[in-house]
Amino acid sequence: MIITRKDYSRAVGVCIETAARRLKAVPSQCGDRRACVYELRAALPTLWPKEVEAGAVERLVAAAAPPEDRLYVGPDALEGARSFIQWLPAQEMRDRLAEIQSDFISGIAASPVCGGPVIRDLENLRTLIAIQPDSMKYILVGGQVPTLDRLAPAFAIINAKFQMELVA
Amino acid sequence: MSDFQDIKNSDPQVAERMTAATEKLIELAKSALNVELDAMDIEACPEARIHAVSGVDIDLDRALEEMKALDRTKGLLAEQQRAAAIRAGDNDELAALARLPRHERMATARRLGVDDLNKKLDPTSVSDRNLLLKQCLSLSPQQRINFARRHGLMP
Repeated sequence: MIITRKDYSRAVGVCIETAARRLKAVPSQCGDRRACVYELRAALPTLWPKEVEAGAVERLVAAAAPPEDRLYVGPDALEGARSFIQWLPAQEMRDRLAEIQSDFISGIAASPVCGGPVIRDLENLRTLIAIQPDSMKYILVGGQVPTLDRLAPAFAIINAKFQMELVA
Repeated sequence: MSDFQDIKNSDPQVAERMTAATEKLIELAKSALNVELDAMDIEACPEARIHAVSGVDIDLDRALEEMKALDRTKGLLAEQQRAAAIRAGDNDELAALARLPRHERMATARRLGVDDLNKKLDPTSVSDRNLLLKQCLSLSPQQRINFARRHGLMP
């Protein structure tokens, strides 16, 4: 999920300069003719508690765009996923995370990808599923639970870490 | 060397009768039981040995029963039944075959003369699936889904 600086400014209710200052330390991708975009998960910890209480998270999720690839989270996403999970400020968000993670494990267990090479990376995959766009949206704002029975095997296959010793 | 071997080696008539009986009984096993026995198997049948030593006519019914009782014949008949069950798509037999490691599975299938296993088998063998998963995870993330679909790891 990605947002622009302008989206952040509107959703949180701060001026563009404040948004720029807050997002300065957040990794961004800036195109030549496009506005800078930020990973939503990395921008969330810049919110103040009172802004979270006032509905800034819901507005940010509504403004955020899903990434082009809804399955592959990229090679360096694990730390970001861990930080996102640690940040979750409300009990209901943490409950929804637990629901997503258990659905994810069930989806893997019921599919043919449930084998040693995937199982050994399961802990990381269970962390990464939190930042899959549909899961992340559900964790943050609730609504319809994503169906993970089909998504989980594909997500696991794409994101399971390549381990050199597996090829030997 | 067994006593019978001693007698056969020392008496050309016994050897001659045994050779003739062997040929006859191998033919009988082939036509009546559809199994390929060899001279060692025939020699294990008392009826053949009695005929060779004494010259009395072979009781073919009795010889057939003795050949049926041989471990080798039982094994070959059991394999024939398995092959027929696999060709008929029997789920238990297919699952038993699928549990074997890949190389053993292929060797068994060849021995049983079943050559269209791919149409019948799912990748249910744990070691086989792990091998496929390893191969899959050695590919780039973009290639993995296609590989997984092609090999039945994903719908």
